[in-house]
Amino acid sequence: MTASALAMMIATWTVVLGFTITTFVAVVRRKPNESPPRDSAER
Amino acid sequence: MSSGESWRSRVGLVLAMAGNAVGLGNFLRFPTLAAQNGGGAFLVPYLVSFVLMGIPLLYVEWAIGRHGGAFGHHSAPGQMDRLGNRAWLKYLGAFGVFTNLAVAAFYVYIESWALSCAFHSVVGTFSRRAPGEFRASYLGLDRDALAVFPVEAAFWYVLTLGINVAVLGRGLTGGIERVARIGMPLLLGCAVLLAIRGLTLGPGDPGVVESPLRGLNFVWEPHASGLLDPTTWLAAAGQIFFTLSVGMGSIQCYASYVKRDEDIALGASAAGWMNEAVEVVLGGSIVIPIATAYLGLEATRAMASGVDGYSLGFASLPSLFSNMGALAPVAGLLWFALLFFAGVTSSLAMGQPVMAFLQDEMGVSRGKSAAAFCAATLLLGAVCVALYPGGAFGEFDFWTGTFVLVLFALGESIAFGWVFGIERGWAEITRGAEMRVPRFFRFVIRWVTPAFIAVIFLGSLVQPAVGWGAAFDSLAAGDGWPLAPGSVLGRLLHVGASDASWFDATTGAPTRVLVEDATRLLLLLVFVATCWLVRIAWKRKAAA
Repeated sequence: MTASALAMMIATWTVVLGFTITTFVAVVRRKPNESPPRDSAER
Repeated sequence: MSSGESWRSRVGLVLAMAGNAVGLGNFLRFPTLAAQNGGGAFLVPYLVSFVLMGIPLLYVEWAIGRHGGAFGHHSAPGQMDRLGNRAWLKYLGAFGVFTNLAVAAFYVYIESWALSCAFHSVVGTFSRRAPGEFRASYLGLDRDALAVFPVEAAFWYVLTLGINVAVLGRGLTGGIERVARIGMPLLLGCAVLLAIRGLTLGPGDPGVVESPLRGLNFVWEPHASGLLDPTTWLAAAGQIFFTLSVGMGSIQCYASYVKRDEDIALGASAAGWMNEAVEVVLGGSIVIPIATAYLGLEATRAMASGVDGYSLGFASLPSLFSNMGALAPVAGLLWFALLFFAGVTSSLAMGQPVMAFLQDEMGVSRGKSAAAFCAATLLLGAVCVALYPGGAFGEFDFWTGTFVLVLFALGESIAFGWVFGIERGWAEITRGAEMRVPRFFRFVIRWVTPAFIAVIFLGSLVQPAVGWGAAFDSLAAGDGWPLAPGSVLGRLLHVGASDASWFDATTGAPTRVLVEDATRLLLLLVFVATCWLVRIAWKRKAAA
């Protein structure tokens, strides 16, 4: 691979995988929401 | 009733949302588009479109969905109606039911190809018969007719639709969430295995003529000229629409089952970025590198510019797998299982809004709504299957899978930022958010996203057959605007067709143009019928 293609690929993969892992880990780690489920009275 | 349901877990919700977005386009459409539009340079407008249009639209759709869900609306007509006191909002929302139904009709057909090809890979059909020839016969393209009845294709279609309806009938957590939790890891596993095998093909492997890394280079080599070409920007922004499944009404539907103070900003970001990772990292590492390894770069380059992703994935790749000898059935099974899981997690997201509309707004039970979705999809799907050679499938794909998405997204972004109001909208997006949503998105959602979509819409309307500069030169010289056959107006006017008549002048037989126009009329009637159902539902509610 050429240096420019490799640099483009690594830069894009880093950004995309970085955001993906960060956000998904945050979803997994977050404690369950303690607000009660919606019911008809709330509406 | 659907209103009593909610997601069992956040991970299940994010996987279902990501499964909705991750579809066949991630593996088939993205690599060919990137290769055709400047290689690595395509990624610049692509990522800019993702940040300025994709992420804001995800926030908007999740917010519309959760807001509407709090009032018991799990489909777009009711959700849009709750954004303001305007009668037209619910009819704008009708797009969110119509699109899902119409897209499901042809999308289930593609899914059924994957299922049948997985079967034929295992039983060794592709070692005896060229996949391209098999595909032509399977679809009825080998018969000189506009309408066909391909028995095997019809069988797999009905089976695939049956699987979808069976899952949908089991409800949100028992059906959709469970399939997403199983299907997404399987999909990722199949994709990783194929990418590793493809990228490690070497000179010692039978049939390999070139390093697959040259194919990877082809996808990623940045050509700066692509950055200045509006066509590249249009293609990149269009791909963001397809890949994220925005403008359909399915994200709003899934988000409506989220609890009131759930962090939707984080959920939307996680699902969106997961889709991007699958597309950019895995989607770009399978089809083009494998094709390059077995066909050589020049042949792959010609193939990528001359065919659509579907032909590449369903006809070309199986024949390349045959080079793998004893591993060919395994590679074929992995590839088609991957496509099937990618497809089914998306088509389930199309069924749920239609069923939710019938349940919430028309008072129909879950079982009956599943049966109604099945019957309607089957009827529309029959048109796609029987008239595939006549071009009906392509019409469904373009008008409902492309055009309407942009139209609906434009309407909902204006409704959210301007009718609902950015103050309330921003409060809805950030309520319950532990993640700090950059305030820059507030400005983007109100101004940039609608303008961005409007430019895409206008651009696709009049996209020229030549470069934009040459087209303006042609207009200035008084030679008119050279419409591309694939532009919206070009399609409407049948630009490029040798004869735009409905019947052949000599034989009197129906032409492809008749099939295309009849399909458009059918789709228009389905949309009008959806609006009519919305009207009835609201009249009944007003009278109750």
